[in-house]
This record gives sequence, C-alpha cells and structure tokens, in this order.
Amino acid sequence: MSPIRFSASSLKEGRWYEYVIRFALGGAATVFTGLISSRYGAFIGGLFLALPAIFCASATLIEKHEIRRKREAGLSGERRGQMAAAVDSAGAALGAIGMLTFAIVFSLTVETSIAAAFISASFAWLLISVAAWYVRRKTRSARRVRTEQGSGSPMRGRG
Amino acid sequence: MAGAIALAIYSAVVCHLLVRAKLRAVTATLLSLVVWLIAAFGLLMFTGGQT
Repeated sequence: MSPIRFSASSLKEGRWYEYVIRFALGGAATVFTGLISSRYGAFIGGLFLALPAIFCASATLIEKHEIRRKREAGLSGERRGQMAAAVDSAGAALGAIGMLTFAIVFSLTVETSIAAAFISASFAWLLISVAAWYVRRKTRSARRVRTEQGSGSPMRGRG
Repeated sequence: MAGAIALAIYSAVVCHLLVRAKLRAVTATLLSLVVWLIAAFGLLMFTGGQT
C-alpha cells in the first residue's frame, strides 16, 4: 500500500493556460457564489460553494493529458483518457464525503469560536478524506484478489 | 451539506458515464451538472432549507 504523496512532476505536464483556466473558473465560481449569497441568502449561497465548476475543466484536462501522452507513444489513448478522468471523479466523490464532514463539524462548533470551528472542521475533513481513500483502496485490493482467485489467473484484471 | 451530498452524487454519475457510457470528459461533466442541480435543490427542498 503506497502512502499519499505529492508529485511535482505532474505540474510540468500542464500548459500555462490550463492553470489560468482553472484559476479563472475557481475565481468565477467564488464570485458567482458571493453574488448568489448576497441576492438569495446564505442557504442558497452555501449550496453553490459545492458547485463542481473547476471539476469540469480539471477532468477534461486530465483526459487531454492522457490522450496526448498515449499519442506520443503512437496509440489513440481516448479510452485511457476517459479512465483517468473517471479515477479523478471517483476521488472527487471521496472528497465530497470529506466536505460533508467539514460542513457538519463546522455547523456544530461555529457557535463557540469561528477560528476553532475552521481548525476542527479542516482536521475532520483531512481525517475523513484520507480514511475514505484508504478504505476504498483496501476494498479494491480485496476485490481484485478475489477476482484473480476466482479466475485462476494472477495476471487477469491488471493493467 | 446538501451541496456536498450533491457533489458526491455528481462525481459518481460522472464516473459511471465515463466508464460505462464511454462519454468524453467534457460531455460527461457538463451533462451531470443537471444531476447536481436536481440533487442539490432537491435535498434543500426535502430538508426545508435546514442544511
């Protein structure tokens, strides 16, 4: 089981305008949420904090990077790109569980102190997100072992 | 909270569209925004704006 680690090499794969797109979309989503919040109130504004604005660009760029990498190797890479984007969306689903935990902890502790609520909610987010990733990884590994044992071939299902 | 649950549903739908329907990422993510809107506002209405 490999630990979670930061890889700076992934940053080099992106072009400068791709990062501009992400920052611009993130900023636009924040401004949009602020406008919604001031017009319709905090309930609706809070809802739009979870709007997947950056995710659309992010998943598309991940797919594009995979296709580019495979084309350089002389392959189509379209299916590989789709699968890479699918893995990204599975990670986003786990992150959403962490976000839900953040919201619950924050709403429970905000009346005592805003700073303490932010710290405790952030810690809860980190804990639950990592735990969700770990559980998913463990269950996938166990499922893969069962499939391999069932098929009788140790190489089946890999790749 | 409703937004976070809607985001989890959205991400799962995007994942399924990419793997099973074999859609391109841009199509899958944009189509699924409808799912996010329905889930988010549905949950908000269901809970009466308490989330």
